[in-house]
Amino acid sequence: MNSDDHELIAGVASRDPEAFRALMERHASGVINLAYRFLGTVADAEDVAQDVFFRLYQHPPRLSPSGKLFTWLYRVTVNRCLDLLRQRPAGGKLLSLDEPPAGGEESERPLAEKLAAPAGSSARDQAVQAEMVTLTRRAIAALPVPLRLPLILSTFEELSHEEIGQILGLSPKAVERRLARARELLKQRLAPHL
Amino acid sequence: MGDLSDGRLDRLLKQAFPAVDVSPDFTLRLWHRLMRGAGRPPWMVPAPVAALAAGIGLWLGLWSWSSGTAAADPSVAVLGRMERLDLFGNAPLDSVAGSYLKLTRDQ
Repeated sequence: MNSDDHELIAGVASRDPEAFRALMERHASGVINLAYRFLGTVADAEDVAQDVFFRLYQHPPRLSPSGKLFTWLYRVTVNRCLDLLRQRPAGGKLLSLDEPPAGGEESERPLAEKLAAPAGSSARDQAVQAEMVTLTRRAIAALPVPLRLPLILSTFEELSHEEIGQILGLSPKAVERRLARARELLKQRLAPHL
Repeated sequence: MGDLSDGRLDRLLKQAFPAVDVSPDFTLRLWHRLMRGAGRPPWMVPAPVAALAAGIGLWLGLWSWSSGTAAADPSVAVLGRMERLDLFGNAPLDSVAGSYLKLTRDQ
């Protein structure tokens, strides 16, 4: 898998559209989902992913034989997300907390509508779950960026501490400490609601 | 206060941010952008470079004007004084009368 990436990057460097298409098919979902979980909206995430793949095509990275393309892609994604947050005015919409999460047929219904649903057990369960989703998104958004990034990369991308360290420029030990702190803060904020 | 295990926290996080699909037009939009990027003519320089070049040009122009290189040439000395008057609408106090008188005497 990894050696395939190296071959495909060589193809991109020689302007082979098929190689670029293959790389996009393989990595676009990961890049978009990382940006979405960090920024909170799909539209922003796709804009970031466009920038990342545009850069990949214009300036393909020179990876070492043991280098992994996804660490380069995720590093560029994280940097582009941080640029986007810096460009926004203070108080701008950083994370769409009141917006339902993407995906799922229930996601289109606002929370207020769910709470007003008939008192059937399933409707109540859905309302409680929707409220927990909102609270969780708020709790993640309230985390400082240095804690939020390792948490997202670990929980959703299931990367090792070493891989997260390569992406964020941290030692594995520092990643471990930040992850423990992020989880502790989230538990403090969410436990009272359970 | 409820107890929140690592496993339950992970489940909550994944419920809060379920995976999203790549939109169908994502690839198409990127290709359009790449085609535009690749087709940019070489004379279209990035805005910061153009601004820097314009700034350097303006500074050099002002420097050569204020250092009197134009005034040193007798053939353009009068023109130089006229430009000063036109540029500011009213010339510096210590030179308005002199410039005007010299100009009329030269003519």
